Amino acid sequence: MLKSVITKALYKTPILQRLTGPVLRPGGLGLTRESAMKCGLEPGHRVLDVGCGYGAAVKMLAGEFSLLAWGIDSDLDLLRLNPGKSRIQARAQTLPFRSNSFRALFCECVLSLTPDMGVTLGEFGRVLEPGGALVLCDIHIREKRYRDQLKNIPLICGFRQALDKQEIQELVQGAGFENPRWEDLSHLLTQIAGQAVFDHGSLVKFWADVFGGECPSSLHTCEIIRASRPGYFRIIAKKKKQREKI
Amino acid sequence: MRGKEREEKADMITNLGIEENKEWKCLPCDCLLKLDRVRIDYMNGSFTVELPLCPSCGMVLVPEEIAVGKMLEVEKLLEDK
Amino acid sequence: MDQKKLRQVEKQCIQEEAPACQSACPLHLDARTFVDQIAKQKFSDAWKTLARSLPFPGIFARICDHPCEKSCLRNNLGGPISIGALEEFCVNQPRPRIRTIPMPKKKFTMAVVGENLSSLVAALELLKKGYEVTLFTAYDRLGGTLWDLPDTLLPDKVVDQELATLYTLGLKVEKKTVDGDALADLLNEFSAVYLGLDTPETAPLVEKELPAERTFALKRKGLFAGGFNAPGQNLQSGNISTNVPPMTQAFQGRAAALSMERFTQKVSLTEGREKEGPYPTRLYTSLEGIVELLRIEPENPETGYTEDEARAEAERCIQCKCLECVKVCPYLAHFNGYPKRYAREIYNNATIVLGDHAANLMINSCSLCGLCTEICPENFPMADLCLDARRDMVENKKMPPSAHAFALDDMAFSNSDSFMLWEHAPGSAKSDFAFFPGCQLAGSNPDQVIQTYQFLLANQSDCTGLMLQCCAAPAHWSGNESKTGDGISLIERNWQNMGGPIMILACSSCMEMFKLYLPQIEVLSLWEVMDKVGQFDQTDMPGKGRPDSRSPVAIHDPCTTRNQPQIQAAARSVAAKLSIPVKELELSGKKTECCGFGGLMENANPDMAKKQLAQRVGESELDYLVYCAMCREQIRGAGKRTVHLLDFIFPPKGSVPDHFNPDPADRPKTGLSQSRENREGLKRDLLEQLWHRTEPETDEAVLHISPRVNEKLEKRRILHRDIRAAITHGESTGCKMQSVNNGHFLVAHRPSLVTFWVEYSPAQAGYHIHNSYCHRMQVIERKGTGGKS
Repeated sequence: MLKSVITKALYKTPILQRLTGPVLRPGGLGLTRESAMKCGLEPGHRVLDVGCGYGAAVKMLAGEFSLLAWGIDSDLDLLRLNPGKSRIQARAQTLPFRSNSFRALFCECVLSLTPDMGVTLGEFGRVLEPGGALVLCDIHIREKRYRDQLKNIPLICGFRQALDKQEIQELVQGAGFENPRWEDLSHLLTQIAGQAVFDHGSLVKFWADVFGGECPSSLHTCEIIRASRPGYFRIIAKKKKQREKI
Repeated sequence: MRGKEREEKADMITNLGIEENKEWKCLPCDCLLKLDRVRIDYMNGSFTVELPLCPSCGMVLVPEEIAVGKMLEVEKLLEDK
Repeated sequence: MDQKKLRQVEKQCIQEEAPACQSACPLHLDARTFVDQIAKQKFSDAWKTLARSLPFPGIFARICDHPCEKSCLRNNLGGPISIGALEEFCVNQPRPRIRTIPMPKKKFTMAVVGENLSSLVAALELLKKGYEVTLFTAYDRLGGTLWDLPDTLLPDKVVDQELATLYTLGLKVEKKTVDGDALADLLNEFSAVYLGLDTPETAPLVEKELPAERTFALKRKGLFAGGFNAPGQNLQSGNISTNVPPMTQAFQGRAAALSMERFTQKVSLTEGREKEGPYPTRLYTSLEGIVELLRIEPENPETGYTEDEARAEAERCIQCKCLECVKVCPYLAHFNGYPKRYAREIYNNATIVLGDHAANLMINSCSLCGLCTEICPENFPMADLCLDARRDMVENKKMPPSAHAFALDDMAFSNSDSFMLWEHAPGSAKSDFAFFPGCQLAGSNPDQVIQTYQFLLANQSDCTGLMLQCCAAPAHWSGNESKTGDGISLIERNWQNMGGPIMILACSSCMEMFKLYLPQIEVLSLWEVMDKVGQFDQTDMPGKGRPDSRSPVAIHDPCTTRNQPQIQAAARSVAAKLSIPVKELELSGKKTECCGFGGLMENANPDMAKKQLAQRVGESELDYLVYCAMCREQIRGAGKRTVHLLDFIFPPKGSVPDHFNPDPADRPKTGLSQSRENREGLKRDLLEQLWHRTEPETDEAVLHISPRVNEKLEKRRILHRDIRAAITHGESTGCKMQSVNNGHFLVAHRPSLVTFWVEYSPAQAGYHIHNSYCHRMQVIERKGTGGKS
C-alpha cells in the first residue's frame, strides 16, 4: 500500500543529520563518552564501534581514552567521507575480526537496522572477550501492536524493526550476555523530537520534510511512530566468562 | 557542559524561521536586538535556538508566535511521556 | 488498577453483550448483523453470517423453529422481527462461495450413529475439526425425516446439496444396524461414539439413561448422545418424539461433538461452557422513542418475502445496543467508543485515536460527575476509573503540568493570606456555626457573600463565624493526593481553632469534599438553612433590579448534588417561597448534568467543556436558575441568561435610582482576574466593615485593557496580577525592551514556572496593556543580566 520503490535511509538525510550531529543518532558523542566511562576501560584496550558512520565516536574513543578503537559500517558512502585505517566496511552480522578480540563493543542505534538481531548479537558475543562489555543503545517501542505497520514504513530507520523491552532483553541474554542493565534514555529521543519541532514547525512537518513533501507516506509514518510510543535505551552487559556450548 | 560538548551543540542551531528583528531594542543598552544562539530548557530537554537578543547585555526576546507556537508544541511533547 | 479489577470493571459495561435474539438462539446466530445485512440488501454477506453459525445453512434457514423471535424486543412494538422468514428469504438468494478451511487431520476416529439431523450435525462438527468420522445408519441414505418435509419448505435438491458437504469433508458411511453388542465394539474401536436419539432405532441403546446436562455424556466412557427433547422426557423406545425441534437437534449434536473432542483431548468437559445454548442476555436496550411498527407479512405466504418486503421487515429491526451513557454525555460520545473500551484503553494507557496525547486527555477530560454511573443499568464507574488513573499519573510523575496548573494555583491563592480568613462573629468569642461560602461564590459575587453572612447572623444564629478558604476540590479532582491532604488538613486546623462549629456550606462541591474527607465535621447546606429560617417577604421587595419573578426559569442542579436530594429539594423550596416559577429540565435531579467545571474539565480540556455546555444550554429556551456559583459562571459564559438563587434573595445593589439597574441574568461571566480581585477585595472589605480592621492598602495601578486583549488573557489564563507583577518588575529593574515603531514597552517576568510577557505603555493613570503571552520553557541567558526569563 505505501510501498516506495526507492527506500532511503533516515540517517543519511541532511534533515536528521542536522538534528543529531555527526553521530547520526540520539545522545551525541556525550552518550558514547559516558558509556565508555561506565565500562572501566584502560588505555590500550581494543574496542569496536559497530555502525561507526563517519567515525566520530571511533575518533573520540581513540583520542580521549587512548583506546585502540576500530569501527565498521556497511555503508561505503559514510566511510568514504572520512576514511582511515581503523574504519572498515563490513556487515554487523559477519564481523571481520577474530573471536575474543575486543574489550568493549559499542552498537548505538544500529542493531534495529540489521536483518536478524539475534544473529547480530551472537556475532558481537563472538568477537568480545569473555567478560567484555557490550554497550547497546537503540530505539524500543512501548506499544507492540503497531509492529506490523511499523515494518511497512517506506524508510530505512530504527523504528521499522524496533522491539519492546522484554524482547530485547531476551535476545541479549540469549546471545550469551549476563545481567543486562537496562537504562531508559527516552529523554534523548524526546530531545530530538523537540529539536525537530523547532526546526520544522511540528512533527508532521518534520516527517513531511523527510519525505520531500507532505504525502500519505509521511502522514502515516508520523502517526504510526507516535502511536507506537518509542523510547531509547542503553544496555550494558558483559559476555559470560564461560561461554556455554550451543 | 564540557567544552567539546558545547562545540558539538554549536552545530545544531535552529533557525526558527523568524525574520531579523527590526522593532525591538534593549532599553538599558539602547541597541537593537539581533538573532543569536540561545539555550532554552524545559523538563528534560535542552535546545539551542536562534532568538533576538541584545548584543550587549544578553537580554532575550521570545516573540509571541514562537511562545504560543513551536514552544508550546515542544512543551506538550516533553510533558506527555 | 490490576488486571482483576479491570476485568471486573469491564464486565459492568454491557455494550458488547449479545442482543436478545443472539443469546436466545441455541447456536448464537448473530441475528442482529444478519437482519442489518438484509436491510442493506447485502445478501452475500447475510448468507455468510448464517453459514458462520448454522450447520447446513441451506437446511436450517428453512426449517429452523426460530426461538429467537420470542425474545425479540419488538414483541410488544408491532411484533418480533420475522427472523425465520428472513432466513428463508436469504437462502433462496444465490449462495456465495463459502470456504470452510479444514483443520489439520487429527489422529482420533469418531463414530456417529443415526442419520437424522443431530447425528448429521455431530458428524459435520467433528469433520470440520479434522477428525475421521464414520457414520452408521440402517438406511440407504442420510437425512432421515428431512426427506419427509414438503418440497415447498425444504426442496430435495437443497438437502442433497447441503449433505454433500459431509462427503466433501470425507465422511465414511457404513450401512449397519447398531445393537448393544455392536455398540460395545464401536466403543473399543473408536475414540468416542455419538448416538443420535432422534433416530428411532438408536433410542433403545441408551436404556432410558438421560445424557448429562451440557456435556451430553452418558455413563459409559466415550459415549455421548443427543437429539432428544427437554429433560424429563421419557426415552422409551416408541415414545421417542420425532418432533424434536430442529434447533434442539442441531444444538445437541454440536454440543456433544465438542464434548467428544474434549474427551479425546482429556480436558475438562464442562470448563467455559456456561454461555453455550440459550441464556438471558445482560444487554439493555432502551425502547424509548421506538415507534410501534407492525410486522410485515409476505403478500404470498407460499413463496415467502419479496426483496422489498424482506428489506422493509429487516428495517424494522431496532439493532439493539446499550450506549445509554453515550447518549447523555458529550464526553463519552466524543471519543467514539463506550465505557468498556475506555476502561481497557485507560488500563493499557494506550490511545484510541492516533493523535495528540489522546490518552492523557481522555483521562483528564472527564468531569467526574457520575451521570453515566446513574444512567448505566450496571452502574459503570467511569468517574472512579478516571480519578484512579489521574492519581496514578500524578504518583508516577506522568501528569502533564499544564493540565491542572491554573486550578491548583487558584487553590493556593485561596489558601493564602490574600483570601484565607477565619473569624468568630463580630463581638463574639465563639462560634456555634460557621459560614463557608467557598472560593467560587466569593470570586463571582463577593457582595452576596457578605449579604448571606449577615442574613445568617440575623436569622439563624448570631453565633455564626466565617471561614474563607478553598475546600481542596481542585487538588482532589486533579488526582493530587498530597495536595488534597494538605488542603484538608488546613480546613481541619482552622475548624479546630474556631472551636469545631457546625459548618454551613454554600457550595455543593465543598459539601462533597467535606463528606468525603472530613466526616467528623457536621455540615449543613446553606439551602437547607435558608429553607428553614428564611422568610422571604415579597411585599418589601423593590421593583427595579429584581429579576422578573414571573417568567419561568429552568432549574439546573449542580452535579455534586446528584446524591443529595435534600439539597435539591431545599433549593426548590426556597424558589417556591420566592414565587419563582421553576421548570424542570429533562436531565435534572439525580440525572443532572455537569456545567463543565467539574473534574477540572474546563481546565484540562476547554473544548470539551464548550461541547458539554452547548448540550446543556440547548436543552431549554428558558433562562436558567442555578444555586452554585461555578455553574452560574460556566452557563452564563456559554451565552445563556443565568440567574443565581441569591440574585432573587439579595437583589443587586441599586445605584442611582433612575439609572438602568442591571438584570442579574445578564451579568457577564466574571473573568479569572476579576475573580481573584473579588476574593482579595472581599477579605479586605469584610475585615473593614464587620471587624473594623484595616489592612494597609497597596496602591495598585489601573490597567486599561481592551475587550479583545482581555479575551486573549482569559484564554491564555493570564491574570491582571501577573501583568502587574511583570510591569512592576520591568519598571523597577529597568530591564525592558522598547519598540522603535510605537514606543511600546515589552517586559518578561518569571516569578515561578511560567514566563509572562507584557507589551504596554504608560497611561495618564496606570498602563495601557497592548498584548500579553506566556510560556513554560525557560530561556537561559548567557551573560550580563544574570537573570532568567
